[in-house]
Amino acid sequence: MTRLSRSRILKWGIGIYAPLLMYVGFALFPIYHMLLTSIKTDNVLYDLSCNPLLVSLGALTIEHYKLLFTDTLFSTWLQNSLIVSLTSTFISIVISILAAYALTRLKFVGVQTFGIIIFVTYLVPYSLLFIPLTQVVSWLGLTDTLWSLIVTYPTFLVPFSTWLLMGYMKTIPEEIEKSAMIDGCNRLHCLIKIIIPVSIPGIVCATLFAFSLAWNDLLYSLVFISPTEQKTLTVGILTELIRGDIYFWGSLMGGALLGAIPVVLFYVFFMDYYVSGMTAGAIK
Amino acid sequence: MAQLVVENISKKFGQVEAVKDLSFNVEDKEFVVLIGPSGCGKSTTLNLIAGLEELTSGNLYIGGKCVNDLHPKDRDIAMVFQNYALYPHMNVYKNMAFGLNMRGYDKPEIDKRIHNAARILGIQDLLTRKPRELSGGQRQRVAVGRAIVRRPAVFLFDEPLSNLDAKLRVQMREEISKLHSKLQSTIVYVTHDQVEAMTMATRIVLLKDGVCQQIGSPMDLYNRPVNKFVAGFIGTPPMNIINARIQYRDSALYVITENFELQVPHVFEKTCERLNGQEILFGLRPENIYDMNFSASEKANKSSPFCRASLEVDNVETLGSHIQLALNCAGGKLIAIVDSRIRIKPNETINLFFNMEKMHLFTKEHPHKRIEQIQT
Amino acid sequence: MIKSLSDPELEMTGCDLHGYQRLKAKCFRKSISGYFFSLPALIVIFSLVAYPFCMAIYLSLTDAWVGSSGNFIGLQHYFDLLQNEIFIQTLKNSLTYTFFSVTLKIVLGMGLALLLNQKIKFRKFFRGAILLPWVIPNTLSTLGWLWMFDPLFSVFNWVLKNIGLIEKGVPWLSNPYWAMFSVIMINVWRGLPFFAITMLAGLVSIPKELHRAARIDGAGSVKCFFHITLPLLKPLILIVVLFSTIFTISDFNIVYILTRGGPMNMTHLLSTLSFQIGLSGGKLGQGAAISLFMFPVLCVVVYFQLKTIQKGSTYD
Repeated sequence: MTRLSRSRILKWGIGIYAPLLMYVGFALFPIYHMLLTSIKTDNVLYDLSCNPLLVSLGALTIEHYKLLFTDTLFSTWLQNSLIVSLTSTFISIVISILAAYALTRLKFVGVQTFGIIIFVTYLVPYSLLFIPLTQVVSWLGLTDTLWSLIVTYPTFLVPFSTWLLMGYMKTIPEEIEKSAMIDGCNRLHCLIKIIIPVSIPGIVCATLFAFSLAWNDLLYSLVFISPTEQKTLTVGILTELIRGDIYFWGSLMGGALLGAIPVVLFYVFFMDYYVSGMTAGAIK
Repeated sequence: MAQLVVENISKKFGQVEAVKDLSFNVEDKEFVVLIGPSGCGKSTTLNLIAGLEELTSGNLYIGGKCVNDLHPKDRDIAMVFQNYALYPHMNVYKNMAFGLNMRGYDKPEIDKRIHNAARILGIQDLLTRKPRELSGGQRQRVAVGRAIVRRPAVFLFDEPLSNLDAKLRVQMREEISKLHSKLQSTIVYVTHDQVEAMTMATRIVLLKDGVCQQIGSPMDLYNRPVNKFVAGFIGTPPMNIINARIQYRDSALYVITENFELQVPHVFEKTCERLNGQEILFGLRPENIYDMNFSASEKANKSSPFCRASLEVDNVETLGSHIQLALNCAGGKLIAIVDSRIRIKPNETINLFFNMEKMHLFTKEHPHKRIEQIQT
Repeated sequence: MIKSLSDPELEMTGCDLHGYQRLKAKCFRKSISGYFFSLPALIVIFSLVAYPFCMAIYLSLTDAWVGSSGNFIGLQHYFDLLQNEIFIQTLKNSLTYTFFSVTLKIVLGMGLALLLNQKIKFRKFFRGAILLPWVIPNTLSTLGWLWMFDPLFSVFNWVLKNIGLIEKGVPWLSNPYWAMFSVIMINVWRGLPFFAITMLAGLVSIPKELHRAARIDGAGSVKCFFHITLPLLKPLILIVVLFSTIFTISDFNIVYILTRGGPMNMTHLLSTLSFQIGLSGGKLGQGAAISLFMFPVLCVVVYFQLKTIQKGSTYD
């Protein structure tokens, strides 16, 4: 090897791949550890002399996962989360498409104000609103039901999705709509037949993000729902698998991993959409 | 009966008047071009005709019907846009069928029309492709095809060739002209390129700042521009317009500038008598200024010595078929087109002959209207 | 726009359209449809955001408890809070937490982005692996961290002890400073990918000619970075920092799951404190006041960051 290529290898190896691999290790280690924990028997888990970084074949078990499904209402929680996330995402996306279309295409008095309102709402953190929302939810008689979540999730899903969709719709040339109008569309037709099909990437993106946000919520489900059968996944795992001082770590980790699967699956299949969604908003 | 009647239309955006009291007719089968510099209101006018913008005042009639309040789809028009505006998620066939579908034509009829149009435009092989698989020229053709199948009373074109490269533009210009004669269609065409206007139009409507400057055939605007703006806009290179004074010298009328004095020709004598002593604007097209050696040398040599001047050359542009000279004169540059055999360099002086019979005179005061020639 | 009826040549059909068609055309153009399209979003915002927000303000001015609506006490809560030790600590915590998290995320994110921008193999793998912490719902991943920080069974302590670096386990969650360190670390673990990927997109969008021109002018890599790359990325960085700050200050999940605000309230953030007092404790009025404090803090932060964006963006 010539000196040149050796120093190149050094430079690339040490300067670039090493830090990258270190970072990947940092990023993935918690997940690896969670996985291991969920498949180790309790004996090995709580034995301080055992190496927590590895697992011997003899110590493998699926009892933690079994526990989730037999001893807890995990499948119910999973179902609840799915129902709530899918429904609230669907509602929010529909609302956002309409709002984004209005903001990017329609000229009417107050369109600027409307845009500012959406932006400001985006900035209002949802941990600020939960106290008064408990009152609103109880007035609507929705406390302890999944509907309380379906109704309140749009508060943080809509501003974000609208903003994302606006970014996409702005890139559609106006002439396409003018052409459609001359061809015979009214505004609603335009939206449904032209804008939506062309914005599909943006809509997929917004849907993915909205679903992830809804799936991840802890605060609202904690606050609005108490009965165990109505809990969503995040709250269920947190409250039911920690009984007093006893943490069922194996099942906790198993439940956490299982709970992450839907979102991670979406991510794996739609990775490019995720990335473009993250960057679209920022780069505008 | 005129296909399109534009009657005193105006459009205001807030305080800004984009179009002011514009009126013109487009007769059946005419090719009318709306032209002007950026911001002159030509695209706005087209949008008003199409119904994409609402009139502030005035009336519009298409095919005899008043269309002021009609939705664009009810106005019997079709429009071709600058960036083609093809629906990216539909293939060419569906793009062309879209408007017909919306209007409820039945499938055999739609099919017939599309294949007909595709044949005329040479895009039969492209019907199953999506817009992103087409070149710029092909996309433009599809956009035109989409308009053709509608068989509208009036075709509207909004700067359709601006996005094409120069060579393609020339080709498409020809094709659009041929299409016009083949389909016998009525066309309103917006462009900022005066070459397009001159070559394709039956009549030109020249706009500036929302106000119509002149309506007429291309040659009308070229030979009889109504004011300085029209004179300077139509024609490449643009007409030379310089400050001058009409004055008697030794019982003959002269056009007097800082650099030269040129005798007023016989045909203009009566006109200039009334202007004696007045400051005016003197206009002469570059193609009417000749060198003494080659260009129209006979005429030049027989001409009166009082139609000649010597000027210093500032820049020489060799264009192959001719040479364009930029000459220094007070208050700017004079452009002359001379024979390509002339050998001259910047800072040298050249003797030129001015064909005064082709001169134009404009008032010095705004709006610099053309001083009408009084017949002798 | 009544046209003149005097011209006999022109047909009347167009201009006496019956009312419905006229209305439709007017509707279409005047974009009354604009109002219809924005209506659903506005309903959501007004009923579920604006109204509760006002209610929160009103609650914070009363001494409401769960079950009773309480009396109006004006700004008493706010005065009390400002003199309350725990609250002041919480404010400090919020600022510390946000400042360190965001700073680390910018610096490390930028570094990661620069690494990813090189011509590396398996780029998709790296990108995919790196994004995973951000994609996994943070409520679930924080549970994993909770286990990793467990006082008895922490894997970190096990490794450090076995390497011989420490004798007793690090009190990840029981010592105030370590606890703050831990929550910051999780926040960075979770948020870093977002910064990295966004800045990577920014790096990719810088025209290569600029770097080439700089090289010709004699700039080395470091100078290139500081004089060309960084200034061009400023608007992007500021936007990302803006959003990250907002979400970090109002963060709830990580702290709630990991420490509930302890030990000794040293990791309490405004959101967790408000939860504890307002809901667990039942003092709705006080809870509302605490969480409302977030708003002016956010406004100030946003204002300064927006100002810097306006100043700093030289391009466009």
